Amino acid sequence: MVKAKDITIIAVLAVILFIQEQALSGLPNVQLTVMLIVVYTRSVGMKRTIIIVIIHTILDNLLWGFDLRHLIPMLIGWTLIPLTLETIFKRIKKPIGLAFLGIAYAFIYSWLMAIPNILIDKSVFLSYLIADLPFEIILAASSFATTLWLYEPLKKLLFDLDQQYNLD
Amino acid sequence: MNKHIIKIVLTVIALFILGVAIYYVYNGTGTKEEGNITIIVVDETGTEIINDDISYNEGTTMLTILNENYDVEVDNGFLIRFETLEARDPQIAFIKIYIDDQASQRGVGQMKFKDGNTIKFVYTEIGS
Repeated sequence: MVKAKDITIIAVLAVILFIQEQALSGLPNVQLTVMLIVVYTRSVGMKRTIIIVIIHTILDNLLWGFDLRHLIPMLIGWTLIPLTLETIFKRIKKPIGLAFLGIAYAFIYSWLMAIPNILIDKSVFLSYLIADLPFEIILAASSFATTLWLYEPLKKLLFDLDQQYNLD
Repeated sequence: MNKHIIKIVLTVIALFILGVAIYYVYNGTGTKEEGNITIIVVDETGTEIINDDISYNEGTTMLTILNENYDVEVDNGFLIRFETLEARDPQIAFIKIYIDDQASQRGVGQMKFKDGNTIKFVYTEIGS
């Protein structure tokens, strides 16, 4: 059974994830999403982070227009982060390692978002990939820099809150 | 080199790349010189509904030219309406762009073109 405490944590963290993306939407693809999902995974665990990611993806699609061709790759792209961090990349704990993983996550997410364009036309798919490249680089660079500097303080903050309010 | 210096160096590199990419997004796709291009629009019946010669200034993008001269609609980087020609559902059709009869590898926001080019916008059904 899901505890009220779990629901509260998930709700608060999902709101933070969603709001930061909207707050930074004026800058092209600059966002803290990758870094926050990494911090959440390592602080509140994989299951709760996956629920947060699902809520975030649904909210994002409700705001920008519901389309399964966007929802599915977006969901896969963001869910890959908690799934891989708690399995194949479980040993990577240092911010520098996680920051480089952030680059990989940013590109994988962007390429997944490009896949639905194959359904339209090969030239559209290629156009999308080329046009999206600067945006992919922006997402990767911002994910790298923010994970490098903010992962440890934010994880510590969540840990301190955990100690203070017994979040787990 | 201690860890702190490595972090700072990597961050500076990341911020430099970030800055270059943002600059490119906003400024990097304009033309190098002024010139003239021909804009052709072909509808779903294969009929040319527009055939205009347009002059442009240095640093202009195709999107700017279209916005200044025509009533167009762009959604998420894709041209979905060109005057009366509409292709709103990408599962059915889209507006394919050709530069001198070669399919453009970039959309209206990023495509490169030069003086004398013929830019053709063709209504194309999926699978055709």
